[in-house]
Amino acid sequence: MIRLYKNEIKALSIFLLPLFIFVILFIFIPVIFVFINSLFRDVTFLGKKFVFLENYIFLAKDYAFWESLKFTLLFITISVPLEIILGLLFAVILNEKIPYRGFIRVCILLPWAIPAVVSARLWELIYSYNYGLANFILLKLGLIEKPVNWLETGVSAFISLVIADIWKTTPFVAIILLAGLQTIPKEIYHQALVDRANFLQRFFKVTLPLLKPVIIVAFLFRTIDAIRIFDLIYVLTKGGPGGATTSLSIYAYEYYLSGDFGYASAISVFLFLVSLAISILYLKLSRFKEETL
Amino acid sequence: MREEKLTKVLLIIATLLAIFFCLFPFLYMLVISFSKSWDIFSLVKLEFTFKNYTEILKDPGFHCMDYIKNSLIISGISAFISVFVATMGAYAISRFQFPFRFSILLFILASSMFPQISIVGFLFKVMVKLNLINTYPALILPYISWNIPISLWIMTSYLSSIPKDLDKSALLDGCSWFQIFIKIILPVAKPGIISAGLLSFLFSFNEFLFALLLTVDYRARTVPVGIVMFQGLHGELPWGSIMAFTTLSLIPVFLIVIFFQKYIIHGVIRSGLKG
Amino acid sequence: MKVKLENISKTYFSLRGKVKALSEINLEIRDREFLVILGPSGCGKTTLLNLIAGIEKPSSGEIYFGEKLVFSDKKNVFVSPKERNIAMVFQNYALYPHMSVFENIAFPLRIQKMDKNIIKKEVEKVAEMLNIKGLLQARPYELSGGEKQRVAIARALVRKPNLFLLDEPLSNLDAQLRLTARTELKTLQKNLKITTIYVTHDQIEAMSLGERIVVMNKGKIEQIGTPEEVYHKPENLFVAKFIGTTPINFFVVEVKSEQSNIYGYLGELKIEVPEEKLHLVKDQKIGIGIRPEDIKTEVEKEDFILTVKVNIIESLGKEYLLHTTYKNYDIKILTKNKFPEKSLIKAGFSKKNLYFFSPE
Ligand SMILES: Nc1ncnc2c1ncn2[C@@H]1O[C@H](COP(=O)(O)OP(=O)(O)OP(=O)(O)O)[C@@H](O)[C@H]1O
Ligand SMILES: [Mg+2]
Repeated sequence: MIRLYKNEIKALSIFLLPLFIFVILFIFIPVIFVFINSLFRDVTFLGKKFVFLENYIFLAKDYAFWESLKFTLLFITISVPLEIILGLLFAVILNEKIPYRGFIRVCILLPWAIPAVVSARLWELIYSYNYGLANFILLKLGLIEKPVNWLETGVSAFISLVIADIWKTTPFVAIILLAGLQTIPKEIYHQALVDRANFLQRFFKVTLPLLKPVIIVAFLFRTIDAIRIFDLIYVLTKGGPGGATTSLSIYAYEYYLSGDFGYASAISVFLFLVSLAISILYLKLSRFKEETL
Repeated sequence: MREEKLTKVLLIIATLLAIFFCLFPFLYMLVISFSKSWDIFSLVKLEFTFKNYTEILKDPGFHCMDYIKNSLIISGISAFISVFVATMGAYAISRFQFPFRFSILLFILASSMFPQISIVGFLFKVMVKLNLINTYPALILPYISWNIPISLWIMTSYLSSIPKDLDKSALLDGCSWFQIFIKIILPVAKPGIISAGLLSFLFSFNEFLFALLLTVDYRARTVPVGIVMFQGLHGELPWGSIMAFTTLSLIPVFLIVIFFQKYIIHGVIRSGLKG
Repeated sequence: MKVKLENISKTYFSLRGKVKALSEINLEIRDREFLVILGPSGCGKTTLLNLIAGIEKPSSGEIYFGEKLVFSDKKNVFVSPKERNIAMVFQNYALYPHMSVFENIAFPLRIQKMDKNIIKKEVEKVAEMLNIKGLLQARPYELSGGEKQRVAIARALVRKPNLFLLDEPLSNLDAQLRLTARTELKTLQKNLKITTIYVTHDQIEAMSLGERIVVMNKGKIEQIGTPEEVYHKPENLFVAKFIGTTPINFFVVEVKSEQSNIYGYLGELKIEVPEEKLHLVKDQKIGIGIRPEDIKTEVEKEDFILTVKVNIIESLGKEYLLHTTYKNYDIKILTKNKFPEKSLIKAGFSKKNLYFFSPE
């Protein structure tokens, strides 16, 4: 229906071609390959054999896989809401007229901007049994009697990961929520002030309801990110102790490492489909509409 | 009025707590990197020294500067190319009426959310076949692709906000589509390009999984892998040296955040919120 | 340069579905003419300019520049905007924000890879002409609306276009500036003798600028004519309503034949429908229009005289607009005299000022 002329088609294809080449070559083809590969038994030195859904059937019966799914979901349900709450607090602070805002913004951005493995290393030292900051402070405050081996027991390792993840990703949530806060018209606040609402009332009756759509977007964005968590765990616990902190990405990685490409692919496909479902939900809810083009 | 004052005091306390929460690991890192011992329990021994820095810089076996150099080159090149390619695509999507343009955009955006682990196996096999393992292209090529979605998102939203009359005017002034792109769109979209470029740079600089599997030694290894692989000479982890290396390698990130915080925040908002 | 449009139509396919922006436009612009396109917002004026400029393509039809065919859907001809040598001034001026005023004006010449010294000379010449020599080093964001508009015109004129298109170039200026800019524009065009198409939704602007006016509505041409023609001989109700300082009075009345003549009955007034307007009668009805300024309150030898009741008086500065009623007709009258509200006054009008339309 829309008629494009020859020179336009030429220009259009030149503008789009590099984009397509890169995206297809290093994102779509690999994804398709993983799909295909997940239908094979593909173990190093043992050769390749088409087994159709066997990997998936095995997956369904794999106790360790379910454990790692359980861990990943638990990790998301605990860390993401905490990040949202803390991020909201940061955003409210950044939105106020306080001095040195530029400096405060830099402080809040820094944890997000550095490599995840670097932040993991910082926290590894903090959690260290013999000479770490965490044990030092808690002992001095008298909250614990003897040093805790943070990364060596299931529960404490889980808590340690959550805290480190919150530190790393809260800034991102804060920025997104700040943008949302700034779209709330000032007049609404003035009205609330006229109605003599105090700070907390203003927050719960005005800010929060108006911010809901942005919070949902931030929530989904973080969920997509958290579901593939790898770097932090790889450095801090390597999935231990005893597999208690094996996320789906770590689990797949272990199979890649062991040379079982077929099964690792099946895990990857599962992870991919879950991510895709959430990202479709995300794109539906985020305010990106065709009219804005 | 009393309530106003109370909220103000609470706000200041909350601000200070937030700053402290964000910064204390960095302060800890700095202190340890400049101390003789990393044992916080024997506070007396926390003496000031440059030893950690001179050690990792003098001994070529650590390859610290190599890692930092590799990271800067790989991130710089991949950010530059991915933003250029994404801006071209964004130009086509925001300026031409063609079938499925919105679907194409969504399709590519969705791919930014794929878990990296799902393709790393394939990438490894391909790079082995191409004999590219442990070279810059092995990382640059996938980084470009993985940065494109976010750059495309930022740039499409930025270009859509540039009035189309500008293009029309240039068209009448005798420009071809490519001249319009180079002479009008690129300069006008500079703030967007800087945002997208910085985010791409940071993502490449911070990426770990690909770098872990596709590099082998100092010739292509990047900072994140270098830091994870950092081993002491005698078994126990040399935290002083690790923190010195960490501090050094974070300098580029710190500089970017300090000088370009506005662009970064705009980029995050455009990529995270609505385009 | 002469420009001819034949059966031009344009349909957009957008998220709203099909939008018919222009249908069956036939139009001839004479060489060196100042043609004004007048119509309400959304009637397709900008679309028409874009099609002439080649920024967009018609869905069907043909466009000729002089004798040369520049667009035809059937013969698959499309001459690109670059080769058409057209200049256009946009509603919001579309100055390049990253270039100085000098670079903005020089841009079209640079694209043609002209010699640097010639470019400098040409830019200075056109800057002189438009009185913006002092602004050449400024950036667009530093300029006022009036200055931006001059720069946009300078950029358009610098490469001596065959055809000059202006899309509501004065609508962003304040009333005072608009007046002076209008006069300047007219003088400029007279001196340069470039064929010009000027788009506006302001009928006063159209009347004072245009040699001919094209009145458009909903993607169609309603009338083409000189300002006098569209004012005094509107071909249909839309034109009559759209042109004039205050909207025309319009009545639908019954017609009856008496002896060999046909009369319309407006209350007790018996108005003869002339021979040549008889085809407008439909279902025993006809539309009659009279402009508020053509109804006199100092009645002398008007053909029709009636008594009206003044309801509301609106002051327009020098004049008053009376909202009156006669029987169950609302009549607006423009007059210099002030009358008390609720008073009954005499009003009159002449046969020669009446317009006849079909009753819809
Ligand atoms: N790119 C487009 N896609 C879809 N519809 C369009 C497009 N451009 C214009 N239209 C529609 O075509 C019609 C005519 O638009 P146009 O811009 O020509 O009006 P206009 O007469 O210039 O109005 P104004 O005086 O407000 O500038 C409008 O209904 C408009 O919504
Ligand atoms: Mg218009």
